[in-house]
Order: sequence, then structure tokens, then C-alpha cells
Amino acid sequence: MKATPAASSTSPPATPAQSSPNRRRLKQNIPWLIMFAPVAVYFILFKYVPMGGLVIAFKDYHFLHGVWGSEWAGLKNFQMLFTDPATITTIRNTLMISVLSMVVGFPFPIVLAIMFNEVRKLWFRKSLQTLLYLPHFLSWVIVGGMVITLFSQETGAVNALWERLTGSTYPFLYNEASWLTIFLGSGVWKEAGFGAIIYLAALANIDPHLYEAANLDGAGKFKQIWHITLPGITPVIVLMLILGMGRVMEVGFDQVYMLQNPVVSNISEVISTYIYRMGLQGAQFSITTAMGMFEAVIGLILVIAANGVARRFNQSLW
Amino acid sequence: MTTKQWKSRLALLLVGIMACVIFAACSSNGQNNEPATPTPGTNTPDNAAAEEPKERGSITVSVYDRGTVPAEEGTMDNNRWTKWINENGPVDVSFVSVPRWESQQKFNVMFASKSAPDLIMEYDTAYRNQLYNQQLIMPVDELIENSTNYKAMLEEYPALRKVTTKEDGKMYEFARVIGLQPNHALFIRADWLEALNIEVPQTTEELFEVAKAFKEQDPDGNGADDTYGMALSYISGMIVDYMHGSVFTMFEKQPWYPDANGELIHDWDRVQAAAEYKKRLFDAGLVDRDFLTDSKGEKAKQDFINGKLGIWGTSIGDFPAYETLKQNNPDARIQVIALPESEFGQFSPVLYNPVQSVAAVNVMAKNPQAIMEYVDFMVDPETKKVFDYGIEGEHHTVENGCPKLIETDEVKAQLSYKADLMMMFSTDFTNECADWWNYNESNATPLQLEYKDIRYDAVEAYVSQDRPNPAITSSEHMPLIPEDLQINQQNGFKAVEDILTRAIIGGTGYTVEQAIGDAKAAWNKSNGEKIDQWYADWYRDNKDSAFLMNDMYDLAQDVFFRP
Repeated sequence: MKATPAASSTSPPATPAQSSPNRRRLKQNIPWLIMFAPVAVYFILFKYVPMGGLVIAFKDYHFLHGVWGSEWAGLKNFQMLFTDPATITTIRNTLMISVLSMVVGFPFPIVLAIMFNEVRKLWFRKSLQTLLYLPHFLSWVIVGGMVITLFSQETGAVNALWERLTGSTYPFLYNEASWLTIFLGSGVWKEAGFGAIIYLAALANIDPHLYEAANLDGAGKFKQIWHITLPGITPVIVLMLILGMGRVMEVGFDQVYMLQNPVVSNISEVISTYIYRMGLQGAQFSITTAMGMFEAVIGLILVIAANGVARRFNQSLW
Repeated sequence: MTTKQWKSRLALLLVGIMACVIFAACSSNGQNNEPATPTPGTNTPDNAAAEEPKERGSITVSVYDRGTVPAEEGTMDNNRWTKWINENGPVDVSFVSVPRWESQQKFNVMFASKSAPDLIMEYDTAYRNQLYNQQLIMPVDELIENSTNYKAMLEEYPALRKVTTKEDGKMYEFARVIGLQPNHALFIRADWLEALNIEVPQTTEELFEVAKAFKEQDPDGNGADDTYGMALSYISGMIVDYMHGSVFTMFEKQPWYPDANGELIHDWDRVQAAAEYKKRLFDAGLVDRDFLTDSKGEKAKQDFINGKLGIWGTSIGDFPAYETLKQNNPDARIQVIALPESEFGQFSPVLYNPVQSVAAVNVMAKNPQAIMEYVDFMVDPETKKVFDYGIEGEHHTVENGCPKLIETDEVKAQLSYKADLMMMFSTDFTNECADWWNYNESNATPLQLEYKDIRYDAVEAYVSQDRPNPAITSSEHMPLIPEDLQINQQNGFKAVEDILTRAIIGGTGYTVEQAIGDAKAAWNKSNGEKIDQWYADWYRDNKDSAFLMNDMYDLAQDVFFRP
């Protein structure tokens, strides 16, 4: 942050005799600036320049005329977006699914990390950790296939068990509530283990003396977890929460796309699948860009709001 | 550091970033414009060169990639057949492979990045129409003026002109003639009918009873309850729709039919009847309860070729399925049956579009003349011969004046993947060596001969105006609705389809009648009335000039019928 203004302030050639404090500071910081440059270039080239493409949300984008040559359309695309009944459900679903994923998915990595932390046998802990990381590296195509096979009615293991218990199969994938449960559950199964890593790192930083002292004072395991472990990792939890807020408007494409089916489309059509269907398949680039922009703006507002709340508790990011 | 300093720094930072963004944007703008300017420029040297003999043009052409090229043969865009085209054709062609089932996404991305191929090979008319609407393809009338083979073909089959002409009266596509043949067919296990002593079903009601018997009465006689009466996934489900005269399937959504006054009406009754029938099958447990996850019909196909499924809808061209079934169950006998009669009449399933547009020319193509040369080369019967049978001595020998394939695994592998390079070829109705209707003891296996009979049955059952195809025209010849309505149509039909699906598997909780009510509401909310009106207007204005179902029946060929 400090580097760029310093760099741009020197662009007019200053006379060498004049040695302003700015210039001296620049000299001191040259190694840092050099180290920072690739990062700056990366962000400008791959993050900021592509944002220019957002203008097509306000245009009638046409392949032939390109991003700049297409005609301006004003807010027409947004108007179209918000008058289409499908859009409203899509946005509602996106919000619902992502908030639920956060509420359900957020505590699991923390609980897992604390549980790992309490395991004393090193080999057991290591192998358990590896087992729980593993699903993270499977693609959603694989996990989706597994989930659908598991819950299908003719060949699924779950339904075979269910049939033995109740006498008939249950359409888990075609009921909105059970579909949502399966959706959230599969997300937790795949990502909780990997998400625990960051909390494990935070746990490693807690001073062991605190536990010893608590032990001497007669605190049990749960008291220790409550009064030492959790407060010790609170900053990380808050950080993850703020980062998570930025993603509230986005539901990852792969998972929903692999698991959704027409019967539950009332709750499973989300912004990312909408953009895929309308934009990439239907070539409606302007309207889907408008949708993407809407998603990003809401995300930005949420991040800022979350940070504002965190600031009250002296945990803010910036 | 004071706040003031901070603020000025922040401002500077912002200015810096904006400057970078604008600079980068401008520079990329400059790049965007560049290719546009030299285009005419590059044309001039080409034209000049054309006067000198033997200057080969160079073009890019798309080719579908289905991932079926054997590793030792290379890739879809670089293999023995693409090399053959380059060695023997009039122009240098570099092929651009496009994933078959994601071709449109890929084309869209390529158009957006200005790297789309010169000749776009795409079966989907809706997509080509979209390209036309966006002015991304060029008219080919003038090119055809200078053409040889394609021009001759156009004179022989005027229908080609009709299907490739767009609203502005110019031709924008290259098409081929394949004749009116059945595409989808309804298969039934004749040996099961015999074993249970039941007749071929004539009505939808009878079909239901047969499916029930197939499910419950152990038709394969193995003592286990392991058979399905019928399938509902993919083509099987589409056939149930067509049975009820409903052209609202997972692929084709054109539920408009002319009424007695010749007006096009959106008919919900047929949709309802088809959905109710599916629901009955589902509730009675006669179909695979997971049919929804079987979106490409692979599970149903497995069931059928393993002898576990009695009534199956598939593409008539799927001879390998028949072959495998016979291998697994030598006693199995298959019959193609006419679609049973419903309260709306008796219909035929999807027919092959007899005149099919397959290619369009990118408006940014630098050398259209070379594209025409390539098209002429690819519709040449001599080229077709090579692609049908490979190269003499290498892939086939000539016996009785007809090529006979050399039957080794090597040859089989080398010939296995070329179909997508053959999109331009019309069917040669006079050729007496090729295609199923010319099979005889000397050039076909016994199984192929058996299947030839089945195909004749299919033609007799389906290519007849007594049992018409219910669609106003092939989905490939449907007009393209304006863009804003198109979005509504896409979303509206998706909502309707989802609601119906929910009713089919929803048990007693959600009846089809309720669903139709909800579907109508969803359709109207999505501007449905306006869309229906648009199609009605189009039909009123164009029913004489458009390529409709009647025109298709005119192209029926005698060779497909039993001699």
C-alpha cells in the first residue's frame, strides 16, 4: 500500500540536489519495492484490468463489436434482470444456501481442530488428519457422483438400509429439505478437514503454560477448551468469518451443478448456475455480467459491514 | 503519520491504479481494433495471389471432439483423416476441436476472444440462428455462385435453399440431404410378449398393461423380480411425450400446434396427458425410480442390453446396442412398434431432419473463397468414398464392385472416429454399396441383416402421414424468437419442465392437474402469452414459405422402404 504512492510521487524527474524526505524514504525502501512489484503487477493485470469488462453490464454486448464497440444500454440489463421472476428466486436461493452453508459449515472445522488438538497419540492424529484432508482433493464431479449413487433409490446404500428399516425407499434427492441436508452435509464432509488446518496453526501458537496453569488450578478438559483454546483462536475465527462474509453471495458452481436436479430447482438454482446457463450456454453475456456485478457489490458491502462489526470488538482486518 | 497524509496517499494510490487500468484498457482497445483494419488489407494480397496459379488458401474449421480418438491415432484436430484432407484437398485446413456436448460454450468463448474458426460446424439450428441474429456469420450466396459441387447439389435439391435462407432472403448456411428416416424408435421385447402370451400394444392403455406385465410377471423366467417394464429417461421419455402428440420434451420445446383454423395454439392438454402417463408409470413402479439422474439414458440402455428392460425408446441407429443385447441374450427378439394410440391420435416419434444445415461461415473469415473450395471438396462423392471406406488396400478391398472393409482391429480403430469430419456429406441414394438398405449376405453380418429388417419396420411404422410427427416442423427449422423473449422463453420453459417433473415423481402430494395450473402461472409470469403470440404470428406469416413438416414428408425416399 505504501509503495505505490511513493513510486508515483517520483515520476516527475526531481533535481538530484534536492533530497526531500520522501526521496530518502524511497531509497530506504527500494528492496521492499522490488519485492512488492510482482505482486502489484499481478493484481493490476489479473484482478483490476479484467474489472474493466464489467462495462458490458451496461452495454448490449456483441461479439463482433467487442467490449468497447458495443452500444450502451444504460440500466436495461439490470431492469431485465430484476423483472424476471426467475432472477428473484435465484438470488433468494443463493443467499439461503450460502448463509446455511456458513452457519452449518463454519463450526465444523473449529470443532475438528480442537478435537485434533486433544488427541495425544501422534500417529493416530496424523493418520486421522490425512484421512480428513483427503476429500478436499477430490473434484466435485467425483463427490457428486458418489453422493447421487449413495442416495439413489434403486441402487443407493442409504436407501437399501432405509428400506430394511421402514419397508419403502425415500426420494432423498427429490425432497427439498433432504436435498438441502445432503447438499450441506456433502460440503461439510468435503471441506471441514481441510478448513481445520488454519485453526490447527492457530492452536499451535497458544502458550502451553496456560494449560499447565489451568491444570494446577483444577480446570477440566472442557474448562480448558472454553477458557484457553477458544479465546486463543478467536482472532482467527473472526478473520475467517469476515472472509466468509465476502463469499455469502457466491455459491461455488461445481457443487450445486453436480447435485442439482429439476425437482428441487426451486431451491437449487443459484447465481453461478444461472450465469452458466444464461451466459455460457445462452450467450447472454451482458445480463449475466450484470448479475455477476450485483453479486460482487453485495459481497463487498457484506465484507465492509462484517469488518465494521469486528472493529467494535477490536478484531477488525483494516 | 497524520490522517491528512494518509488521505493524500490514498488518493495518489487510487489515481495510480486508475491510470494503470485506463492505460491497460486503452492498449487492449488498440489491439482489438488492429485485426479489424488489416482484414481488407490481407485480402488484397490474397486476391492478387489468386491470379497466380497454385496459391493455396488457408482456413480454420471446427470439428466436434467426442473423446473417441484412439491414443495412437493422435487427436481430433490432428490425425490421419485431417492429414488426408490437407494432402488431398484444395486448401490448407487447420482444425479446431470443440467438445461435442459443450460446443456452444466453446464457440461463444472463441467468438468473444475473436479466435472462432472460419467455418463453424454445428448441428444446432438455434445456435446458428443466434449467430445470425448477432451478425456473426456471413451470407454465402455469392460464394456458391463460384462453387462447383455444392452449386450442383443446390440445383438438384431446392429444399437446401429453403432451409438455409434466413429472414433477409440470403443463404447463410451449408446443408446436406439425408432423406426422411426415423430417428427415434420404440423397441419392445417380442420374446417377452410371447412368453407372457400378450399382443403388441395398440393403445397407450394397452402399453401400460404390457409394461405392468413385464414388471410383475417375470417375463425372462429367471424367478426373480428384476425386470423393469419400461424406461422413462432420455429418448424413452421423449417417446411417451410424442405418443400423446406432445412436442414438449427434454430437448424440443415447441408445444404449439395448428388448430382447425390454421392458427397456432399453445396446447397444454397434451403436455398434461403425457405427464399424467409418466406419473402413472412411476407410481406403479414400472420404471427405474432413479430415471431423473439418468439424463443421457445410459442406465436404461444398460438395463436393456442386459435383458432387464422390456420397452425402450432409443435412436434407431443404435445397432451396437442390438449387437450387445444379442451377445448377452442370444434368444432375445426385438420388435419396433408403431407408437400406441392416445386420446389425441396416433403419432410418430422424432424423425431425422431430411435436410440438415451443418455449417456457417464466420463473418470474420479472411478467405471465404478458400472456405467454398473446402466445402466443394468435402461434398465431392470421391471424398465421401474415402471417408466411408478408408483407403483402398489399406482399409478395404474391392469385391463385386463394392468396397469391403478389412476386418482387423487396427482398421476398425482407424475408421472409428471420423464421423465428425463427415458432417457435410449427403446421403447418396443411388450408391448400391453403402448404408443399411444395401446390406446383403455378401457385405453384412447376419446380425446386421436382422437389424436391416428392424429398420425397415421402423420406416414403415414411422414415416407415414397417417401417423404424423406432431411437431409443426423439425426443431432444427424452428424460427428464432427475439432476444428479450428468448430469455423469458428459456426461463419459462425451464420452470414449466421443473414443475412437471416435480409432479411426476411427487406421489399423491402433487397431482399433475395442480402442476399444470402452476406451470401455466409460471409460463404467464415469464411473458408466456407474448411468446405464444409471437409464434402464432410467425406461423401465420410464414406457413407457406417456411420448411414445415409437410415439406419433410415430401423428401421421403423410396430406398428406405422395403422393396
